[in-house]
Amino acid sequence: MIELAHVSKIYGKKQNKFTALEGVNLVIDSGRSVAIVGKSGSGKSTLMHIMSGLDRASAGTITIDGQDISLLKKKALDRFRAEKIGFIFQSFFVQANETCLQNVLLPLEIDRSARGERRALALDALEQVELGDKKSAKAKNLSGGQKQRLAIARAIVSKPDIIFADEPTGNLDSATGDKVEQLLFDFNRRLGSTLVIVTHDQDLAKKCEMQVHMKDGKIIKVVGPSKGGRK
Amino acid sequence: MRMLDIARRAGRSLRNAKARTLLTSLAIAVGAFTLTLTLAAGNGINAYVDRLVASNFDPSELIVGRDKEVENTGAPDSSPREYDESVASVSFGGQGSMQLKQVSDSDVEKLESLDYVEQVRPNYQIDARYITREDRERYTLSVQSYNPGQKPELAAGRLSEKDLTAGELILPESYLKLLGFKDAKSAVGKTVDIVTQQPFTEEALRSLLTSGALTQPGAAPEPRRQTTTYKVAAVSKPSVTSLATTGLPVMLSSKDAKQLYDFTTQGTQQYGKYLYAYVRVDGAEDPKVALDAKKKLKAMGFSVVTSQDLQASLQTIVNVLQSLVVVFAIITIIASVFGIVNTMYISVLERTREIGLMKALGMRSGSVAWLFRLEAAWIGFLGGAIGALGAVLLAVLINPLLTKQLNLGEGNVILINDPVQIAGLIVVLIIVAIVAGWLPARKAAKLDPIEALRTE
Repeated sequence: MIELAHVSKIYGKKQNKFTALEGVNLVIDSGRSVAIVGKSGSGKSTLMHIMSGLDRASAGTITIDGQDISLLKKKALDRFRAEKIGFIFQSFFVQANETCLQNVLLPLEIDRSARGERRALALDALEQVELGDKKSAKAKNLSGGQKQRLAIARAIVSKPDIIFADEPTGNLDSATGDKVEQLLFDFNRRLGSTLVIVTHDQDLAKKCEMQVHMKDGKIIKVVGPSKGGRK
Repeated sequence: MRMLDIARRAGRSLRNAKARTLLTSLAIAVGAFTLTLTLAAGNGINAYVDRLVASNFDPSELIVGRDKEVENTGAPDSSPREYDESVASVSFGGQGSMQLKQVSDSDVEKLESLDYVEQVRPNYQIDARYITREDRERYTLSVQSYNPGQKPELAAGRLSEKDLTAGELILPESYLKLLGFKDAKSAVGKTVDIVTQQPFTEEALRSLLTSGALTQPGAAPEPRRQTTTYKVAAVSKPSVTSLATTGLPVMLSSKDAKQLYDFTTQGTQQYGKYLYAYVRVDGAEDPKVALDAKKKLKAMGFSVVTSQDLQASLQTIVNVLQSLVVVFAIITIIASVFGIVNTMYISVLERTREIGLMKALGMRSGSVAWLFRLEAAWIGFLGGAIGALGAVLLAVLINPLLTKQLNLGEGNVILINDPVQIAGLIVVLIIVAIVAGWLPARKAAKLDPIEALRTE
């Protein structure tokens, strides 16, 4: 479960002060699929960064499965991300010169998974995104949709509790985008991972169980089965 | 992230930038090449010096003199000194002469009476006129007393463990043809004549005056000459590491050598005085024993040079030259360090997004830093290995040539590569490279993942 209480984020100082998030309260139950929607500059990306432990809030508490991650030290936060979070980005961020297998192995190396198990886990993840036959291909030789599927394999390989996807279909045509969406929701249902999608694609947002609408750093509307919602 | 995984990822990212990696490591390779070659040359020359000293100086003999200059293997000090009866003029070929305190016969006796001294062999500088044989021309020669501790290489004949028998000599191979011997074997047991001459002294002049020999018109004083006949005990041949530049000397027994020395110096201030004496000390092959004896002899007022001292003074010259080259090589390596720093900064810039992603996935800053440090380490290793390999290959190629050119003798080489030295050099270069990669690595470690991932 993700619980945010009075979370705010302020960039800069004095005249240059910019409030990216202001008094955000939100509760997301485990296993849900959630879309965070809003125009650019609404603070949806910042909210995702703070929920995923990539960035720190200026104020407020972020409790994930009972643990307040705003209290974690840097190394503990790194480990938290390595063990509990999977990331998918709009521009894929796959390592172009490495093979698909090496890309998927990276999270396993980071969280120090047992050496003997890594390869099997990585191959399994590649199979699940239907890239099993591409395991030795360099990532730079993949198409856009394949790259994003590779990124999904990398995100699910360490069996994270929460997957954050930042505009996962933003750089894809609708056909390949649909395939990627299908995979994401499939994992959300099958593995029970919470799926948080940041998007301004209304169609994609509607496919999620819950929609969080943001504007000017505030949550303006929460649609769906939230216990917390707006306070 | 485990170090092994970090090292493998570092290696992979280098392979993805082959040209850059290779060029950067080539800069280090130049330094490594020079250092390897210098070290190899140092090893070879020092080994050569060892052999040189071993075959020209007997380690169980100490060179013992009365004057401090004996110990001074560098430039002699030519300032005036207090006179006493033991001072005599010693001439240095072409460099004039200098006055030095000398070892006297009584010193020799004193040395011989010491319980740890086995034998004393004064340095007889014998000025022999010529060597000849019946019906043969006369030839110049140099004469030395034979040191049983240091046998010359023989072409024929046999030598006993002790001194030569009086009346025998060792004839250098080069005289065989000149003196009409068919070969070395046939010379053994035959006789040769050595002629020495007494200097024209005051005493000789007085005897000529009193005998009235000079009063006759046209009369010139005849120098006194002595012809001594010796039996050839053995024939020596040059050794490849011999220091002698004038060819091998004729060797006589100590007794004969003393007789000739006394004869040729009679009436001069050199009579009964020696620049130094070779003192054989029991067990002085052991440097500790030699040093101990040196201390005792110095306490008695002697100046002492051991074969270690000689070796050290020869090696000092080698080491000075070697350090010069090493300094240049180190400058090259320092220059290449900037190359590494530059390359690593470019690598960090190029891979900003990759670093951001890895940090987002939970890779620790320390691991990110090591990723780049190990990349630098790989460059250092590669440079060291390329340079060392090049130097080893070159050594293998030119060693036979150098051996021939320098006349080192079969099986002796001047470039000796020591695997431990090379491994040590590569380790040092890896450490240097890691240090060079420190700042770029820190920059990578400090990158904010959000900022890094925003880069499009």
